[in-house]
Amino acid sequence: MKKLFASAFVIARRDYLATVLSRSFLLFILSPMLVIGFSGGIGFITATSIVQKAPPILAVVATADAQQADGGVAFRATYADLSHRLEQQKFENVELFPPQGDADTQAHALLTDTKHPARAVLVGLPGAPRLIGPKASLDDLRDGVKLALDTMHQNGALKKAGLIATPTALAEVAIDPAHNDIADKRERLAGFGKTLLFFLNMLLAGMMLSNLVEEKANKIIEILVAAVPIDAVFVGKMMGMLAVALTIVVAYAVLIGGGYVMVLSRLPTEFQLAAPAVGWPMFIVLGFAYFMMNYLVVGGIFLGIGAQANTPREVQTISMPATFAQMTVFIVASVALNTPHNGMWFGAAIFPLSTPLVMFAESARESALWPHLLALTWEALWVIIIVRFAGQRFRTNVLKSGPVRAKRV
Amino acid sequence: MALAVDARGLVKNFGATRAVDGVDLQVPEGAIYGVLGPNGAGKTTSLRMTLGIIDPDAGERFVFGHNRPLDIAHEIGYLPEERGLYQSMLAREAIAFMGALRGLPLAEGRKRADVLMEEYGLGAATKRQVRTLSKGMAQTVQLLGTLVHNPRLIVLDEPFSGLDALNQGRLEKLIRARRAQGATVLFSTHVIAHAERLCERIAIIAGGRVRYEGTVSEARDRLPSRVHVRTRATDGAWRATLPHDAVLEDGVWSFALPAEGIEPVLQNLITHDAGIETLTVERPGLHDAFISIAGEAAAQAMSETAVGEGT
Repeated sequence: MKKLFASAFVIARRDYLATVLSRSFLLFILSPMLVIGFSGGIGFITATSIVQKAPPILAVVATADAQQADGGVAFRATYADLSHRLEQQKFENVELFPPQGDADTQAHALLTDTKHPARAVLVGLPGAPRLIGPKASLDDLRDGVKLALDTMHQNGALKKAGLIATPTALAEVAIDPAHNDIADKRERLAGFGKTLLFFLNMLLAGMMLSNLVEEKANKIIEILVAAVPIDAVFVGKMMGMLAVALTIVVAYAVLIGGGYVMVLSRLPTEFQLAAPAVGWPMFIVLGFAYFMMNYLVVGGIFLGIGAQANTPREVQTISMPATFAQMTVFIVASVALNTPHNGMWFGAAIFPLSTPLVMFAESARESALWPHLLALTWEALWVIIIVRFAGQRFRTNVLKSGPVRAKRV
Repeated sequence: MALAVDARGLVKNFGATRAVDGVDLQVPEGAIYGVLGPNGAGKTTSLRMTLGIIDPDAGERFVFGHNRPLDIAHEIGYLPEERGLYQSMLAREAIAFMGALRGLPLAEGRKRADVLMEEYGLGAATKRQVRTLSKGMAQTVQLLGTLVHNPRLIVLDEPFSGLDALNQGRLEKLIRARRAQGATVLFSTHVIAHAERLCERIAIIAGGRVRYEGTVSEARDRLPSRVHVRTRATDGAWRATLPHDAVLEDGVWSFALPAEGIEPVLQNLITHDAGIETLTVERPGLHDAFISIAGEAAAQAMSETAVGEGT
């Protein structure tokens, strides 16, 4: 066993250095940062352009005459008040325009103004109000305008009757949301952990598919298998790529996680993460442990499948169904997590490809540690099975080793 | 006689094709042993089974008494027929890496790589990436990687393939030097001249079977010497005194040396005034022995390959 791991280490070391010292690796590390930066830049530009664009208006055509209280000014005041109190975004800014000739013609002109077009135009105040505009705008604004008109008329009637509506007193009792929704936040953390684990593995384990293509293309495989057992080649490949993956994860954790911690204290409480049931230190340890096991199980399968391929083209052909298979496992695990500890959940917890996803999420919900020890041992067992099986298939199918049905020719 | 390699009855099938059909190889420790045969004869498959790269369908093999060759991988150096190196590696790292695979510490491997590369004229290339080396240089780097851990058994599969005449000479010298240091060298080739110059013992494989096993000298002795005689007279009574297998080609009569020796033939030619211009008795070479042993078809296949490679 010691000899096997010594041989595997030689191969792992070569693979690790060849990967992390390549120029493309730097690009690989930085690519998520570039994507985030690019998205942020686009978002900023978009937001800026939105701010610079003039807000839409609801145009009201009315005179400021003796009937002002029932006319445009009153409507504008009522509409603005409702808009503020209901925090309704559909309430537009109201602008008043004096009448100019035919109402419909003026409305059309306001709606098609190239500099500052109105979304809709309200005419005929106070007796016969008409809302003019595109159907989509009418659908959006109809209720708000009617509410404002009703309120305005009711207030006017009360005022005429010498009555004043008294605002209703509403008593408020505030509770601490941190105590209220900790279970909910742990649910979110569980989902986040499972998703993070899945995406990291999907991003990184795919590399294993093509990991033996170089050796086969360069004929180095013959040198390797002549010197060390094929199991050591597979273990070495997996160790090397796991080290590469951990390097990437640590880099991401430092860059992304560091940024999160920096802004954590400034985030509203609803965006802050609740402490997982096992506590943060153990959660992080389990996160790494499950990531490694998930990587080794998925990567081992990918390595075994990819080892059967002879060319990068064949690897590309394989990678699509492999990604679909990963997605399927993720979806099943996600569904299982919605109803913890039922039959489907146990199935997903036992199935070696979804065990890490389910159990890592479980560590956010439940504080018991023994299930994790069991799960990690289970995963380690599967890693051994996969390596042995992949090595055997490689010897039989690629090296053409072992007995086959013979016919003398 | 202690054996470095003892393979008995090795059989290997690839699908419906029997590539190796009961091969026996007994390689004495300290010998230079050649496995000869045309392409597709089963040489490489026999070597791969011997080294444990693939398992035989039948038969058994022992390397220094171990039936699992990978257990003593540190005692073995192997240069496969299809050469391969990591292209992005530095030359010295490639050599050290191959040593490390066989248990040599990397630091020691680097030191030895520097010495070996200097010794074989690649001192300036130690820190060059493999992809920047010429084919011959890369091949030498791989050969040095095969030797860097000082193996007791060196197995070279078609080691002369792809080398120019100068490097072929260097490699022959290197093989002799390693044998002088106590190593056993087992190599396969389809170019008989190398085996004839280097080997004490050979095995000739054709059609997946060993057709001959023994010394080069014994192989040559399996055929009678040939007599070549050129005469001034084109015809006369002397012609009737020539052996029945005598053939005339370009004015030279050739025939197998009779069992009673050259003297009776010579006497008849003189007596009947043949006018001997030249007379040579030629001992058959390994090439002739190979043709005889492996068969005309196998020899034809081999000579075509040799011509194709300019060897």
